[in-house]
Amino acid sequence: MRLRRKLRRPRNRKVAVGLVILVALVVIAIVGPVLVSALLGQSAERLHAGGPLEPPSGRHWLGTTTAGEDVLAQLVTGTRTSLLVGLTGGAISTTLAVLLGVISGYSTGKAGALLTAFVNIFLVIPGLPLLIIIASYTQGRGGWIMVALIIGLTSWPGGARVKRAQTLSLRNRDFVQAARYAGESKVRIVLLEVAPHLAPLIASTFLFAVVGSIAAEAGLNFIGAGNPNTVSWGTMLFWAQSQGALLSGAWWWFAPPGLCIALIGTAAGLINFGVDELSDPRLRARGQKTSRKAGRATAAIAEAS
Amino acid sequence: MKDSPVLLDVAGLTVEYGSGPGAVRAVDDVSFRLRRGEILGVAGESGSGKSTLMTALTRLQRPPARIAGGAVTYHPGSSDPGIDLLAASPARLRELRWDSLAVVFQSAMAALNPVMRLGAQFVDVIRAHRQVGRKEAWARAEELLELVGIPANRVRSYPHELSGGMRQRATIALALACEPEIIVMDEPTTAVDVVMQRQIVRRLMRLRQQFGFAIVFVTHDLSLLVELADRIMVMYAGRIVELGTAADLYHDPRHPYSQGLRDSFPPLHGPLRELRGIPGSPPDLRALPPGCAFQPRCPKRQPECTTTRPELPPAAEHGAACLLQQPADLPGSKAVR
Amino acid sequence: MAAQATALPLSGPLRALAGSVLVKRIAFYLVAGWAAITLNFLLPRLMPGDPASAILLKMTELGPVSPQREAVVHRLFGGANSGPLWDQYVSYLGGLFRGDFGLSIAFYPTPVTDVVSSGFWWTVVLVGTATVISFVIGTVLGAIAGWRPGRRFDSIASPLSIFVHSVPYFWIALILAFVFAFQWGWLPLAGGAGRNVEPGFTAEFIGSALEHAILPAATIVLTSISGWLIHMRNMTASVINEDYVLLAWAKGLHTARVVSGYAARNAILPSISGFAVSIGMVVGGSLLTELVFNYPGLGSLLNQAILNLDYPLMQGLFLVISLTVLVINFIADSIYVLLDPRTREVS
Repeated sequence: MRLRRKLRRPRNRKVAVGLVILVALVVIAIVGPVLVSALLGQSAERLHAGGPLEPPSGRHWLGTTTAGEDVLAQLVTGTRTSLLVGLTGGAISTTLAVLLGVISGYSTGKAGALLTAFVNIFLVIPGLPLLIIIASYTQGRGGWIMVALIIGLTSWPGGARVKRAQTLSLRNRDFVQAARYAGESKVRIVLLEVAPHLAPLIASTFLFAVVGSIAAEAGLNFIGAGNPNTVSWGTMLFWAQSQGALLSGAWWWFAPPGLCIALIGTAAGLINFGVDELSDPRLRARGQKTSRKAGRATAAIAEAS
Repeated sequence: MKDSPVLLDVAGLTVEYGSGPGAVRAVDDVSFRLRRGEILGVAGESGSGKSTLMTALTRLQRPPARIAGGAVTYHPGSSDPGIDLLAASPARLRELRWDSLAVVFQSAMAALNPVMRLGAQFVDVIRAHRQVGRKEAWARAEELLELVGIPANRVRSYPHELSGGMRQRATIALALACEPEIIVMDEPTTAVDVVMQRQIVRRLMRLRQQFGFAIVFVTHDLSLLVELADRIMVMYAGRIVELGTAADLYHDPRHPYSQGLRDSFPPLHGPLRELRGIPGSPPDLRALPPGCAFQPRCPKRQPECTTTRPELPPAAEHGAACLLQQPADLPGSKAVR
Repeated sequence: MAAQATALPLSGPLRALAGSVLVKRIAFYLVAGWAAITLNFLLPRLMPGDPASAILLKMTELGPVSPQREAVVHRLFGGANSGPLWDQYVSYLGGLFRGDFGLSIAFYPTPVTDVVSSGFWWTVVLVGTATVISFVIGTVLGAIAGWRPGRRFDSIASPLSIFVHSVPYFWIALILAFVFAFQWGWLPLAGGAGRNVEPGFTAEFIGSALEHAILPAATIVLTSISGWLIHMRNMTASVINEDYVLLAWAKGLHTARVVSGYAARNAILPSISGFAVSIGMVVGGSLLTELVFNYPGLGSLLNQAILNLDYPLMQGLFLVISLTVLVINFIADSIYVLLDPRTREVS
């Protein structure tokens, strides 16, 4: 009995909402700082707009900081930095995850075993403390690119594990074995037979790596190991914390940046959840009849949590 | 066998996927009777509704599948009015399951819990239905395994530690745990090799002799059913297209689809025949052709086949739902669309 | 009954098998521990700049530095004139085994070991308790959501979890601190216990510590629950369609038995095998949470170390955090091996 509603692919609402949020933030990142400079007539990096710690008003929609900077302007400017760190860190992390995951999953023998051990070891060493240590040795040198690089270099293990598991299962599939018996070279098989099947997984890894990098940037800055002179969601939180926004009750200072991070994470989560539901009907509301195929590991979710 | 009392009476059973105008009818108005101790074969291609029928009999269908009509009446004794399984309360159903009606699934690997010892999977069902102690239940599990030729010490093994054939036999032993009257089997031999398949079939026949249970045996392999079953029911697009004794179906298949199905498998023994497949592919249940669902693939199609849906003659010992078997003006057939 | 089944005596070869898997795991974690230690050794030496000189400079500002103390700094951080890398490595390892991590700069001249141990139990008790609570609640809620995908509970809990899962820990901490401590004043805003309370096994101290732990623990539980929930929800939604669960229903077992023996029993396995990835995130988030509440654990110490460029303390903290996470992972791994017989196979 194979009854599939494949023709009636429902337009998934979760995916749609996620995409809208994502696109909106990207647009803000691109045009926002320009707009802020034009409107306020000053550099988007250093904004002096009003008195210290003014609550939200018609003039300053999100209030001001202790230094009198407009929080909304900072938020908009910080979107660009945060997204840049996220995209760069995410790209580095995903590239490493794919490389290490696929190679360790595909190669056999000593090299494969060693690489697997390498991935597994970094999987159990906590990433954030490592990230903080490395970042504090650099002492804010190199700006956001350095931060993104370090984040990328320390955040790949989760993605690599998922890629490795998927490659392991792919390498025993008929079509890959057929290519092997046909004498195709390893590189060709990996690129032409294995990689295309990993594409959806890579996409979801990248999505979460971007979100993870944004959150990591925020955490790094918050604990004081970033570069406090750039404007990003993370540095906003750092200054809010170190200038005692909490004790002044200046919720308008620390609430918006965290909300933005949560928003972009939610967007990624919704997109991934929706795509997963589209590809695996069993997760969807009122799942369909049992598929007798062995349960597909919901790898992307494992990675997300 | 045909004089045995009726054990299970299925009348007008209809199962749909989804509801409303988009609903797909996977089992359509299926009626048959299973007699005590009988092996009833259900044959058909994938998509014929045979597996859906099996889950509906045991009320194991899951959303979006739902039973849209009909009755499945179980007669535990010969005189009582019977229990409508489709209307039974959850508690009543729970009592009847496995105690009276057990199931064997296609893939034993998937049907056994991978993280539970084999014996524990016997013990929990035995203790759910019988007032016995743990020790006794474990001993019973060993007994059951030996019944299907698995050494008693395997009771402590996990499913992955057994061979494929052993696992399949273990699920059959599991079905016997409460000595049910009916065992529904969904392609229990497709996952094992031919040699193992023959062993399992032989053992099944012997066990039936010993315990006297009835079997509904679902498979796509008609030649296997010819060996095993007392009667065979051929399904196509959710409907029964032919029902008769195994010998009838083998020597005198009346529906062109049954003929095609018979000719597409080699006989288990006897002289080899020329093998022929059935041209075309199983119908799309969302858009069934008008008239007879098989007509687009039928080598013997007549013009009226595209307008008139043939019905299975009721209560016949051997009958086929085919216009060639019945004049078009008989009351058994009705025009659709 | 499953418990009874596992309680049955293992046969001889099986026991040997489980033993060998355990030995393998122990070996792996020893290697991982060695890797963390070596990473700690290599990082300051690979990084641009000269942390050793920076540390010595700071130390001289704080007071006279004896040659022995200078040697310790070079042993831990390298720097000019500290000899070949291999010799440095040997003496570094030797120092670690003697429990000598040098002196903290932020708390000069307290030894790093003393500073770290002052925060260790605060963090372990806080994060440990919060993680257990959140794992249990998250897994139970996830199982409920996944049991009937698409029903009301699922359609509220799942999107909400995705949102909460994306919120940084320390931001939740800020919000909770703002609402419950600053605005309403229900709970203390900062610290591990009341300032005037003498630490010890007294009801007063324990009560005060509990009161101070509520908000940090609530932060960790609230944020990490969602990860377990999403995970368990998806696994349950997929496991309930497995044939063995269908067979459990066909057996006429009670719902409770189907859940405990078949559905939840199997769905929980990936949560445990994925513990490594999750606990790393939880620990990272908890460190930042401590900072918000000025909780006297490892997170606040890390913050102090960073602000004072206290590299010895940072190194010590990283090592202790990594090794603790490794131990937790080892425990989770061992539980997994107990729960899933398939892992006991020799590969």
